[in-house]
Amino acid sequence: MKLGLLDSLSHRLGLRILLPGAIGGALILATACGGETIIKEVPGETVIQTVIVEKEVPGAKVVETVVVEREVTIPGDTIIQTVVVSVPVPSDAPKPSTWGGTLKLAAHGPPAHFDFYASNTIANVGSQASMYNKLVRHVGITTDLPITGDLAHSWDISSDSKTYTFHLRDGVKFHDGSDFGAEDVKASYDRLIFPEDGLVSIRKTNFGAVSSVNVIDPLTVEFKLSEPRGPGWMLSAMAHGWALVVKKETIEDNNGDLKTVDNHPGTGPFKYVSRNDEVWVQERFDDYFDPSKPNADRVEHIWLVAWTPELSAAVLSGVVDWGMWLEAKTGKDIRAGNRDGLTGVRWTLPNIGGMSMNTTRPPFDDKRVRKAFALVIDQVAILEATKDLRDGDLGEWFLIDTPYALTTDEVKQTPGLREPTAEDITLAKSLFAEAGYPNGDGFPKIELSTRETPEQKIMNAAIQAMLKQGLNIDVDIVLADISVHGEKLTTGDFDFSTNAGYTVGLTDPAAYIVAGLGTCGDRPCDQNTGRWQNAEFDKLIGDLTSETNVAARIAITDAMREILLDEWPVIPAGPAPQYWAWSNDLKGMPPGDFSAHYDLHTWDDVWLLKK
Amino acid sequence: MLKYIAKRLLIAVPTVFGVTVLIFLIMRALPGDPLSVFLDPSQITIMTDSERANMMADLGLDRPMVVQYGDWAGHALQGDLGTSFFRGDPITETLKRRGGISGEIGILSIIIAWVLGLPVGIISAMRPNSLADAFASMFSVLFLAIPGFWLGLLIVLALIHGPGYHPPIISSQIWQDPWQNFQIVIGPAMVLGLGQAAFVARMARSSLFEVFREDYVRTARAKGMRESVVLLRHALPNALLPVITLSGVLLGFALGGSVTIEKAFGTPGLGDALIGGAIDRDFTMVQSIVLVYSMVFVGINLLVDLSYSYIDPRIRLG
Repeated sequence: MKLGLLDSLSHRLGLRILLPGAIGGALILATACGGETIIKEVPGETVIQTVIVEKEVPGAKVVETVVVEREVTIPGDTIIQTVVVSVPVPSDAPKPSTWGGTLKLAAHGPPAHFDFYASNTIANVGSQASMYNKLVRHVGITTDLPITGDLAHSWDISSDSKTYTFHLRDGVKFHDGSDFGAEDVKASYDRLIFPEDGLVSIRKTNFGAVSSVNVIDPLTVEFKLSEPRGPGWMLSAMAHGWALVVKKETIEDNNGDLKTVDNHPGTGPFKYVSRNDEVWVQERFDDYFDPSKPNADRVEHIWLVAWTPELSAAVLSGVVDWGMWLEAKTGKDIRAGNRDGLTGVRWTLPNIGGMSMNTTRPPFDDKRVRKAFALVIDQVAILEATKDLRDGDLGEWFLIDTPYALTTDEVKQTPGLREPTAEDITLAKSLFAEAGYPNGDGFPKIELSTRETPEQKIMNAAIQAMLKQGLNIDVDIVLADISVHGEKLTTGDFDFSTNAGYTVGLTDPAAYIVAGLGTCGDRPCDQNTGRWQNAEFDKLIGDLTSETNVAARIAITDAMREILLDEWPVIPAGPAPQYWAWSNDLKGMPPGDFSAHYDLHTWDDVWLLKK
Repeated sequence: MLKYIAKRLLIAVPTVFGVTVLIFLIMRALPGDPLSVFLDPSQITIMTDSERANMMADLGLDRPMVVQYGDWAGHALQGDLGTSFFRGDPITETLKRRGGISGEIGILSIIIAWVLGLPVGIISAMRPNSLADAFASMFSVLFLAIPGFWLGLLIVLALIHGPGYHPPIISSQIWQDPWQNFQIVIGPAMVLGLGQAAFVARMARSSLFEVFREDYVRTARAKGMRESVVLLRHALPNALLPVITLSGVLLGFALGGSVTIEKAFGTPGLGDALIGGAIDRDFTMVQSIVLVYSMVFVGINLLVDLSYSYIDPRIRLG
């Protein structure tokens, strides 16, 4: 009830408001329970405040979560902070009357392998996350998905933000009955941060500042950092969907390579039953550290590929209780309440969509050509043409709705990002002429390569026409399946691609901009498919990483944007919102539209009204 | 007879071998990087050389092609089709589970084709140029022209938007849950069967036309036999030979054609696995399914040929 009141109040007012009473109440409650309060603020950074209240109650404990929000003003900006209070309640509390049932989930997959450390796809974390835990986790009780403890019940952060110490829950068991401890955390994070040569670890850059992971005692683990990182970065990285903790022996037995290991013990709410190329079945783990969870007896992750009619059909007909990646038209329909028995929300995966140009070879080694392309491509028209298939908005190189990005109005005023004006087209033609292609004469025929998806087909035909109309050049469209398209981008054998943005694992700009546009060692970083390298820009990335003051960071990102507006290594687009939908019999789901990565796939909070 | 079967099986060996070599080479010749699928189908990630080399070695793709083929074929000869390229799933298990569903769909579609197509063909042949014949022709042309996957999608959409029903999408064998199994196979079988019924009807009609002109049919009618007796005892058995031959071919097509129809219905059959394997560049999965398909084709052809001697005693195999 409290949550609903707070949420509806904030939404009615259109913004998060100051709720001193609620904060006070929470703090009084915390004090009354004799708990520990950890409030960590780093000036100029988005901070998550977490108040953990531990109360020893004989017997097991059931965790009830209360959320309080408050507004914190920092120089130059206002950042909302969320306080999560976890209050243990007596173990003899009655179980929900809705206990049990089989949760049928539409899972994008099956995964190509099982090593979530080497994966960047929901196909892994969507089906595997329910068998494991993280140190800390996001909870979907409000739409801003606050972070709370998971395997760690509390943590300390040194005043210089270079040491993170996690205090682990006692009595946590793996599915095979063995005890969980700090050694397991160390082994997991060593695999993640310091992989052996040849082992892929997609998110090791999230922990680039970590120099060592140390076991202090069986229930305490410490992360030593070579340079400061605020909790907005570190805790978000640890709450990220893939930062799962596995058993030390599993890592050792497989030399850190979990690609073919699908059944190894986790500590999560569900444990392995069976798996094939149709479904992954998991059942309730009776010794889960939180005895009040999970509510469902069994989970079936049924493989249904994203955006397909099969997926929509399964959701609409009730074959599954929940699905994500719905086609936009179906998703919008459900969200609008036009489908009885179903609830839908819009979910925004914080990615930067983009069109990548191969900057290592002509004609895109000339920044004037790249800028001319950006000026004539009408992204507003593209969004309109593909609106039934996908949602989207204008964007830029930094994540919209963060302090570092342009506002939507600013984007709409920026040449190259906005709907092209006559002035933009004239400028594009003049840049083309300067580059040696007056009226498009002499411009080589280039390939516009992309994935063969319905929206990409429409999008590329539109771009082909825009380039002909705006610059008088001919473009060959090359549609290919993912393996062909992927090969082109990863080997650099392409000219121009419309399916080549970069992933925003963490919303801190220093974390994602380096992967998408930066240099790692002497080569382009993992997702820098255009292979653009710029020493001045790389230096600014370094400055951004080490700077903690928000005003200074904004100044750095502004300087970076100046370079990008001149260089145009990637033509950026805004994130493309997607849709979740679920049966009205499924409860405990996020209460409204939200933005997150794949961080909510533990399924221990939800329950079924109908079995 | 046994000598004939042995001879046919011997001839089948180079056929199947040729098919496996061909599909092996096609999969390798296809453009595309399997590691792109392996790592991340939504966001492209550039791997370091050592990461790439390690993963290629894990998949056995660093070996010469002859060695790759020899290794796979050698194990296949011993009945071990290996594991799927990426997840390491035993392929024989996938084939057992999904093959049963696809096999049922194929057989059921042929039964539907006969049940619907044969009467239509008979009526059409017995009353040429009548209203019934015209209706039968229209029926044949209609279902010959409609693509099966499209009809499948229409049925699925109608079921969802009407009664809000969708067939189960997790496989269940007939001995495990007959009702669920029936719901899975009936849709694709019906769509395939309707298309095949059109072929059967047209073939039965033209074949009966020819048989009706034979002397023995004229003699039977001259003896005053009832038309039903003439049809069932004298004409139909002789007219069935080409229909049976056609059915053998259609059963083969049912396996191949079911690929897109299974996709439309979300049926967990072999076709679905084949498409998934091709998209994911799961070389071993595709090779193994194609191997099974080719063996089934060879087997069906052999059975059709063997059935001739039972239906028409004049035919002697040897």
